[in-house]
Amino acid sequence: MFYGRYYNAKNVINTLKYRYYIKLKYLNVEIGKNIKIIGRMFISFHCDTKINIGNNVVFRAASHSDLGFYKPISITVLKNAELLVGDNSGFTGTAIYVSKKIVIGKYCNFGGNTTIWDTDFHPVEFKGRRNHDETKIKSAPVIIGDNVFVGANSMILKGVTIGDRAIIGAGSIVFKDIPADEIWTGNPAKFLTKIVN
Amino acid sequence: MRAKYYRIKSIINTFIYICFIGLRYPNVILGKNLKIFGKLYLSIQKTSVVNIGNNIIFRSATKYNYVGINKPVTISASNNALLSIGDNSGFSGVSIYCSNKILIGQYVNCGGNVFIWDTDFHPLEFEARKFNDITKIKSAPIIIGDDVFIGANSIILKGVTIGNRAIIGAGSVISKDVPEDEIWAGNPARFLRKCT
Repeated sequence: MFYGRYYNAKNVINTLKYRYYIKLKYLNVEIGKNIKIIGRMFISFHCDTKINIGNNVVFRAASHSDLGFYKPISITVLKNAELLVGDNSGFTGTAIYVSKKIVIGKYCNFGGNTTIWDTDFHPVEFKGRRNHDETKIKSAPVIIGDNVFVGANSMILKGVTIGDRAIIGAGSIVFKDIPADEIWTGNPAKFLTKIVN
Repeated sequence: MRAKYYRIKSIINTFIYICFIGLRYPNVILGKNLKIFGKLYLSIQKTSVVNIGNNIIFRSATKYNYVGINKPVTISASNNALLSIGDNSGFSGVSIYCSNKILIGQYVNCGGNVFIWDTDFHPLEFEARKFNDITKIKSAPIIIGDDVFIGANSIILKGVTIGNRAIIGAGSVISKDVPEDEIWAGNPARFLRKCT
């Protein structure tokens, strides 16, 4: 009883701290009501971006989740990129790296240690890698629908569109589009079953 | 502002690690311009040979590289092992366990949380596993060529040779040789396409 109250108060203070830190430092970020930030969160936003975080979103550092992962939340948004997070979504130890566009729908659940990247980080040609030529890095927008559940340890790579109500199994690596109402798992992710309501 | 702060911090951190390595491990040869961000765990036996080239970067924590590193860089070399890392390579949260021989070329980019193991760690026969028979553990050298790009969360297992300029997709498990100029991904890793 007491511990529950203690942690609630701690989380409220932690959330307030991050909320005002973001508000004062980044004027381009819009944060909805009632978001919760539990544990550490690393943020690096560029000033020329559009960032929208919906209502009731929960960001939980993986070390506060008893899952066996020890990773904080990290969100990076580069110049001229766009990050939209829908209402009521939850993230645990997720690393989000936006260089172009990432759209996340409503009521999405992201398991521990998931990563969402819309870029390759390094060019495919070896000469570009040697010279650190940033113009040759490939990137494509990631769009995730509503009610999507992503299992722990999975990675969503560039150019992927995930349909509404889809489920992605733990440890899977997604680099192809996933239609709505389907379960996909594995590395590379493959179709498993349809979801029948 | 923050970049400057991290740069100064990393210079001090690197200096401390170079002093520590110089005193503790005389068999480690360090090149010029080494950069260490965050922690670096080393466990190097005296009879091993470790060569680290010039302009190498080790990054160890989420705050130094936002791709989502969840562990520090660890380098371990057993008795009579040979580990050599070429110039201008970068490692983020990489674990290297060398019990036989690992050769890493120049201009290699290793993504976050990559494992490079040249051993099975335990014998395949169950009786040997019961009594911890170290002599029956299988190990084979790993050779990684120049300009290789290894995606995040991949695992490189024993006896693998990766050709020059090859690319390995994120999250793949490599247990077979990868030829030059090719992109491989998946678990087990399969040929995807040629680099153009």
